[in-house]
Amino acid sequence: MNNENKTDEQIVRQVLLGGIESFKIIVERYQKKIYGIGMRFFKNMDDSRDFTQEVFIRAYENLKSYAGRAPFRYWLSRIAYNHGINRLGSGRAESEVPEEQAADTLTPERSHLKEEVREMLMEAVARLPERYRICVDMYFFMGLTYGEISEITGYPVNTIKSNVLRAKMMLRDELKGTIAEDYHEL
Amino acid sequence: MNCEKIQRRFLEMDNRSRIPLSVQAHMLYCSRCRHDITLLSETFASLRSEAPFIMDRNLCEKIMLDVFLSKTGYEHHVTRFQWGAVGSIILVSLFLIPFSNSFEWLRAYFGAGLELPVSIVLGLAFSVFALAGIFSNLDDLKKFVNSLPKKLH
Repeated sequence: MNNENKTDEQIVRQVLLGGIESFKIIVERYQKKIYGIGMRFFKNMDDSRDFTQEVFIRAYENLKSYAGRAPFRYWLSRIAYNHGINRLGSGRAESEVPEEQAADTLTPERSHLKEEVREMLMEAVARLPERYRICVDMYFFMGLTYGEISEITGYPVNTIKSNVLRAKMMLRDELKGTIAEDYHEL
Repeated sequence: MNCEKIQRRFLEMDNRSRIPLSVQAHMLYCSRCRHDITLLSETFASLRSEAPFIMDRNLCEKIMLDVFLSKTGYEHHVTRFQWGAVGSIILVSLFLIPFSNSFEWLRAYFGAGLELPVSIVLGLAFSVFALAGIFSNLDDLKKFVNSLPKKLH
């Protein structure tokens, strides 16, 4: 089986058996998402980059403690969230910086569509209380369940559920009459 | 049930859960909801391969460099004790074969001349095992050999 098609859990087993270079696949899969969690905490590109690096190193060094009972992305998100809380608690600087722009490898139509949907969601999320935004990110971008997010953040499941629902409803309303709808109809 | 209620039920769904039966049944005859729910499902699925913020540089190489420099290693290491213990078991078994009746059924076919080829084959297997053990612990062995004159003094 090609390494790229392997599940996270299979790759972790490979790393634990000595295939350290396989960890690169994990990094490639999750670096943007972990960076996103960093941006939620620090609102600063440099700190978020450092944060991303630190999270992956922590994950690598504690890989033996991953029992494989829960999805790997849940375990990784928990490390990232706890590290973010600790790092923020240690008093690192926080400053408002607009998000970065980058080239996309998708076709122009797809890329534009995805970008528009992502921006819509970001606008919807921006209308939610700040402390719950990270929960919505974890739901949409990490694919975690309400229960998993609640275990990581300590917020009640119902609070997370209602914030995610609000974001979904805003996204649904925003989607109507946009290129996303047009694209779907093609 | 009206469309708004059905859509709300769909939106309340958790990740990794199935679309409720009532929603699926409604979608069968309501083309508007079918369209909206499919569009939303695709949108949510596409977000899973996305990230909330866009990175301007790939951190992969930097992270992997840190990983390789990390003190934590996951090489599958067999200890010298394990090598030694398994080697001893193989060696003792080799010497005990003539006294056991393990190859009785083979002896019945090939007669007394069997012992020599069996010993050669097992001897070769043991040599391969010993070589694997030596090369896996070559660094340790070198250190041991280098420190031997000091120990003898």
